[in-house]
Amino acid sequence: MGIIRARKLGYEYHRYDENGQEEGATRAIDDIDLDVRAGQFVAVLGHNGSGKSTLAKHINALLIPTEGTLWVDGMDTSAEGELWRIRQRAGMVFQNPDNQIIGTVVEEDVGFGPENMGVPTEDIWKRVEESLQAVGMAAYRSHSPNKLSGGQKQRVAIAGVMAMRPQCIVLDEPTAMLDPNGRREVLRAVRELNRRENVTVILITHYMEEVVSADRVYVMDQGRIVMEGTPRELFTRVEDLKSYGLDVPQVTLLAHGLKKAGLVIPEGILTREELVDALCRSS
Amino acid sequence: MSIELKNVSYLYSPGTAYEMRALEDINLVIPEHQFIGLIGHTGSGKSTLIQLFNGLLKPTGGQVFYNGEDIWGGDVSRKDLRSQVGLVFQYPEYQLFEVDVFKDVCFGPRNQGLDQEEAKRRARAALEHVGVPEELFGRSPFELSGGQKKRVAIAGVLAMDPRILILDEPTAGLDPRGRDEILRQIRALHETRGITIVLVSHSMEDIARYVQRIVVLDRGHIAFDDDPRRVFSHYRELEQMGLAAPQITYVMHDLRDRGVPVDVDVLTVEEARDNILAVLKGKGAGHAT
Repeated sequence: MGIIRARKLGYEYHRYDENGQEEGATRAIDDIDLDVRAGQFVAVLGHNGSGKSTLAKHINALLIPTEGTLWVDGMDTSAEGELWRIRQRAGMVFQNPDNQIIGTVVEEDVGFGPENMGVPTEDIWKRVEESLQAVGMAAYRSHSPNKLSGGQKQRVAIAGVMAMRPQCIVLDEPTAMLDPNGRREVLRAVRELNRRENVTVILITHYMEEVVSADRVYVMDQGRIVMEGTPRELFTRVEDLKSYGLDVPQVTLLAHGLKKAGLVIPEGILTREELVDALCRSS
Repeated sequence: MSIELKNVSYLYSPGTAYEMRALEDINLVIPEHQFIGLIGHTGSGKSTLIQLFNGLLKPTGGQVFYNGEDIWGGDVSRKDLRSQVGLVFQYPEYQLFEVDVFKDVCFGPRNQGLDQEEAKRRARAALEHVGVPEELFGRSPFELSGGQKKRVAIAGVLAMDPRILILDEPTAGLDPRGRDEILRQIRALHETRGITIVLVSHSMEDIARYVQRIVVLDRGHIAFDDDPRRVFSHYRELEQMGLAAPQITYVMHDLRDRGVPVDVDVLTVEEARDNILAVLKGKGAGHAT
């Protein structure tokens, strides 16, 4: 059984007017089945309001399903009493690093999570060290977080989650506010965690280039999963993705355009190396 | 309607232990009717620079001119300046505060001293221009989605009828469709109203597609100030500065390195496609029959 599993998951919230009268209900998540195996790198795409963040918040029990069930490492998130164990298994990183960094020194910030869990002091330092190493920020351990660049801050936030030794890490648009270099740094750190520490990664993003190396990609629309597959399978369906308000990476789009114009190019080009190779072969 | 910066520098907390130089010796002219992209790594000084444009910050060295007049020289009303040089911040929630969308957008023109009717007319036109549907006018701005909030924030500034509109990362966090819509509307403002646009963005692909001129900031200095093709031809230097060129630029350079004589200056996917097709056709090969 997968580490994250959802069965007929649904989430409905109600809107109220000023007088407390119900105005209506919105189904943010609608009948989702999901099975993420331990160690997988999964990406979730979808336009704003498609339900991605609502789904993410279910994974560490910030939200409890109104229908169906979600299991994290076999624990039902709606079962009371499992909350802390669930949050320890599935850590979460949000879009804005400034909202999730609390320490005045990098190592203090990273140590906050394990300290809060009651980990013995010696172990905390060990975990802080290892987590900072894992995201390439060990050299900054005694720095003040507010002097760091966006990409560095976000990596500190990821180290803070890693220090709690989660099996799974959910990143909700972690690169949306970063410059190109910050984006590269964060992505590299996330891939390393996945590859080396075998941490399961669930990456929510609007940048199509970031999902190219995922094992599996889910596309959400109106609270449902509407497309699913490997990046290559998905990115051959350019028109379908566009109909859901999404894009494809520039290289894929260029390959698609060239193929349509009659060039002999394989389907589902994902990287610039693939495209350049294909074009050099055909020229 | 131009802004000119002469030898401008800006120090945060001057004279203290926390003194930090954000900008140094900036010389820059923003003429009428241009669509300018401003790029730079985090901490390069972009946000400081745009706050100097409309007098929210006072330079610690050098001068800022608006239509030839020194804005800190004494005669210039900075209140007027701010309604002519509109600034939309990165987090729209920081500049939305009224009980409903329509009142929020009316605030600027009312504050400029316009009467109720004129303010309403302006607000309506501005909301329409950025594609906010009428059924949202009565909603609280805080109930809206991220993309809608951004539109309302832009409309609030637009309703003051600025000559220059500065947008700090207007598309951060938006999905591709929302991003394209907002950028197209910004381009339409530039084309139909002749407004000068300064677009701050981390997306090199967007910058390449929309702007006429790119200003690159690197650690408080202007590293490049040129048309997009020339700026992106320095892609290796841009990488050193924590930036990049659009993905397409790299494809074209790779092809050229492998002996396919394509044009490395293209900026968009469409241009790249047409150029590659033309080059391969010219060689009389590579086509499916």
